[in-house]
Amino acid sequence: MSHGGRLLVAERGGARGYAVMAHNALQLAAADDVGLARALVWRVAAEADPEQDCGAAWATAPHDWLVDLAVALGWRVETRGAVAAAGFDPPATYLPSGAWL
Amino acid sequence: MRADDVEAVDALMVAAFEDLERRLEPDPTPIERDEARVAASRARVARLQSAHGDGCWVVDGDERLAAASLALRSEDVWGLSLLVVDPETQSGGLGRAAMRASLSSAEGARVRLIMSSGDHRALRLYAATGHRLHPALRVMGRVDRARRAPRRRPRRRVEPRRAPAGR
Repeated sequence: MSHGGRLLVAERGGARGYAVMAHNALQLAAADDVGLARALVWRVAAEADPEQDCGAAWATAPHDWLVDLAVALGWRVETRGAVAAAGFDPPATYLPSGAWL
Repeated sequence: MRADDVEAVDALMVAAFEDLERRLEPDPTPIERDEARVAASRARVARLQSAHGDGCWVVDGDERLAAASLALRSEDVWGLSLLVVDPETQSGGLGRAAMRASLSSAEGARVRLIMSSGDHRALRLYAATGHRLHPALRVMGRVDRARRAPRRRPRRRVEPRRAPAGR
């Protein structure tokens, strides 16, 4: 946040979600449900500079909703590395930051 | 790792990421290093070193750092933020040694999480240290504000033909 990142917050009913946007892309998102996570990515896309690439990373199998959204936006979908996890599987409502911000 | 290693870790990261880009990307793009990004990167490394010293380790090389492994710990969660090895000395076990040192700060953590590049040695190391690998996707593109949801066109019926026998 101290280096130009923006915190975005979404609320619906009792559910909450937040995202960090920096360098014209989503850096991190965590939400109580997929609908809020999706809304946060839409918000990042809506606020992005249309002259530069926008995007998100570290989507794994549960994040098929993000792939659907990317297809709707006409974005490229590329394989890129892996999320290595122990003690849990990455949940659909959490998109981690590659470098832990 | 000491506080005065911050700039060297940042430089090693750039060298390793540029090498990775050249090896893995069909169309390598230079890493963006404007003043703001350099400042943010160094500040991130400095923050990790000062707040999570137990998880931050470097391996000295002959003239510059040979490897760096930076991990953070927050309550039950442990995360590896950076693991880089000098492209000149990769595949010599230095990354493994640095990461094992960082893993000492994972003791008792319920969850460990690493976002890995596609480098096969990194992937093998993370699998060998008890992590399950989940293949990842990245989505990116420009936002076309004029874009509308695609209209459904009637589909042309396609009849598959059987391949001729004997081929």
